[in-house]
Amino acid sequence: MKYGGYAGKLLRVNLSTGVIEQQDTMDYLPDWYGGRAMAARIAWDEIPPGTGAFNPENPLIILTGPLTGTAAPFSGRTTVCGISAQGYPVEWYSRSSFGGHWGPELKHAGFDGMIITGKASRPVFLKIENRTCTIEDASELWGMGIYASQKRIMQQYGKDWRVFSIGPAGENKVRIAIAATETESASGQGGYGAVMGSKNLKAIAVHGTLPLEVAEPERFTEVCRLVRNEAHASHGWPHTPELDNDRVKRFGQRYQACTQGCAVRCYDARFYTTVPAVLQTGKKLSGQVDCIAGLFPGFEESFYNWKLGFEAGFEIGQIANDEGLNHWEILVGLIPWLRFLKEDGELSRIDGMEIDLDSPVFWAFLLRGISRREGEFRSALSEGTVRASKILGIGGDRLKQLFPAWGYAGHWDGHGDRINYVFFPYWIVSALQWAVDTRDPISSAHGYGQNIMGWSRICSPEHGLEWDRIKKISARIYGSETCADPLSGYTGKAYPVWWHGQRSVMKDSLTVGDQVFPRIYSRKTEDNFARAGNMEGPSFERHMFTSLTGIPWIDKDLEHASKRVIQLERALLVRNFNRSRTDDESVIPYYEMTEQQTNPLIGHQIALDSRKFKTVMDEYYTLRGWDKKTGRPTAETLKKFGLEKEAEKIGDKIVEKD
Amino acid sequence: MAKLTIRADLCTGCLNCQTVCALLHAGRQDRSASAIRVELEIFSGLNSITFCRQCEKPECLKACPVNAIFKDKNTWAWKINCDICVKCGSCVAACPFGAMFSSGAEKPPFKCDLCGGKPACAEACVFNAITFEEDHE
Repeated sequence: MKYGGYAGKLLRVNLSTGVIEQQDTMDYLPDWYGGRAMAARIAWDEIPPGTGAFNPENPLIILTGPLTGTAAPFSGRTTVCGISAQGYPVEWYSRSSFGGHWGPELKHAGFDGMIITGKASRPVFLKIENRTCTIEDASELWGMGIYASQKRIMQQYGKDWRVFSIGPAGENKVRIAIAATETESASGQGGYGAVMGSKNLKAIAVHGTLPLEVAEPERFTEVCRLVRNEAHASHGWPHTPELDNDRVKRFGQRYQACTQGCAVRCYDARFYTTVPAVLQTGKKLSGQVDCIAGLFPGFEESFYNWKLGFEAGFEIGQIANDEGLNHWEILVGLIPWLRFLKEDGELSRIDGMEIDLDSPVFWAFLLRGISRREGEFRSALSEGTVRASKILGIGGDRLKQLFPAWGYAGHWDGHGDRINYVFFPYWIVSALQWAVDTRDPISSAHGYGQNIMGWSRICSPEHGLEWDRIKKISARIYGSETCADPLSGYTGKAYPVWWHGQRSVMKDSLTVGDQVFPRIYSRKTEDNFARAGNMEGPSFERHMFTSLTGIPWIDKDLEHASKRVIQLERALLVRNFNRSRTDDESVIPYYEMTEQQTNPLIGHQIALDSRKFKTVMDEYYTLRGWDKKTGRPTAETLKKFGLEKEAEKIGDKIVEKD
Repeated sequence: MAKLTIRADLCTGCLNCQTVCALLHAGRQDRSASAIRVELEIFSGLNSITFCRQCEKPECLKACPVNAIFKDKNTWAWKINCDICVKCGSCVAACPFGAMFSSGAEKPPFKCDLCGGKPACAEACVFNAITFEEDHE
């Protein structure tokens, strides 16, 4: 292998024929440098128009990046791509990712990733160890929850094996099905668990002892040390939270890395060693609670004010994990939608049981029924809330208040998602990020909306920064103070979408943790702009990448390669799905609703002005080199990125004149 | 004298200690080159860590037939003189903590050398599961 960091081989598994081949990762390097980037190339080459999520031909593309599993901090993640089962209005190309320790294990097993096509004639799992892969019988595992499936394989092969598995939801092709590893590391959005299920693929078990080379060991060691020390908190927040003493005593709360390489006391990741079960009386449960799963118990005095309580909420969260269901969809989309319908008097019972959000019995009935497609109502919900609303013919208006687009519930958007605090004008950026994506654009949205809100004095009165300081840093990053100015309105909102777009590709391609990169603000420097040694915060990823791989790129090269990924993904959407500006603008009605929070400097709540927003969209298209009328990459733009052949393929479609 | 202290109950399973140790000692990401090993307990969350205690009267020292194990005067770490080591593996078998690691029959075993007095694992552990502090006993 010419470059450091990479394992050197990709697995190609055809489950229909049973043929397993190995391909050199070099075939895609350095341009398509890992994860989401490499997946875009593979998807363009191998997914013909007309391929649906459940077609055996739909490749399930699971890729690590060069940094995955190395000493690079926050580098344990794996990216999953392919035609998405959750995608709406059509099943289209999208992506997801997951943490834990599976990706690093895969690399030590000698593989950077895999492309799985076909459909096995019976349930199977893949067994991968030190450059070998076999297809194994999974008939005993079929029907098991994600935890039991992992435990069974680990009992058989060893505790140091890592398993990525689906639960009953994936088996039953539930469109909100996850595939996951450990107790809380899921490829959550996208319904890729259902794609695995459609292939009769229950799990992928990996174990490896092979080394990964490092191009410049001394420099890589030092860069990693500096980055790790600077990244003292997840990027959206200036300080690190302590454990909750009460929960430490009662439930054994502790910090737990949600992925290999994590080096922060995160807001969101906690492990509980002993939680008394409520439904399974007498049992003590253990497991991780990350991110949105903290909402299962309900929050008093909030929109999410159901009263499951900690123990029952924990248990329900674990049930959702084990069954293999998407936490975000359940908590921010499905449950609020059911609550609205109950309040509106449209619905009081589901498949014979009264809707009672304070009752764990109801939640378990709901979730297990969805994952197993039981009952008419819950079977409909197995198609995801958006499709269920259409199937059942109810709740369409309420749906529009919770789901911005593409079959996903609001996420850092100031409207449907009421748990995350982001007010005008920052959600203008969220709106545009949503508009141009095929799923919720969260790895971009964390970088902008969460970062600014978290670092403001409003969300962090004690440790946050004054607006003037945030604006100065904005000028460095985005080229203008207006891009982060709380009173800037629609001005300067396209550039952050463009900038975070490529940063998002980097995170999912290298791979590094979404909640930590890019490093922008810091409490460790005098001017609060992140830097370490002679590196500036936004260059951290590139320094880790070059010293590890030996690929001699400067910042601009990595940015260019990442921008190219966005162009190819867009070209794929145009070629396969006729994606257009009209599609992008379909998010507008949602944002035309009044925002949930209030910018205290403005003093009243604001709704989107579609005319002004369309101007921001124009600016974004110009930055990307996309035709303003059609939203398609121009031939000239694709040529700039060396994608001439691809431009020819979508030829007549992109020749659009003003 | 400073001592490496491990509190496995604070370990989050990030494995940064292992990856930096391997990188520093092998110049690549070779898990088998790490002198500190975390065994993840995914479902209970209570990980265990294998590491050298730099014992006062080490079993490895007693077991070595050629006195290849010596104390580094600067760091007080027990080290292996690879020039005289006969690769018999006695020390590997003798260590009650499993912290003397075999590199195969052809090479001398290896162990924690405290990185010349500044252990990389302790620096990499932001949760204080691994600390390197003055031993006042």
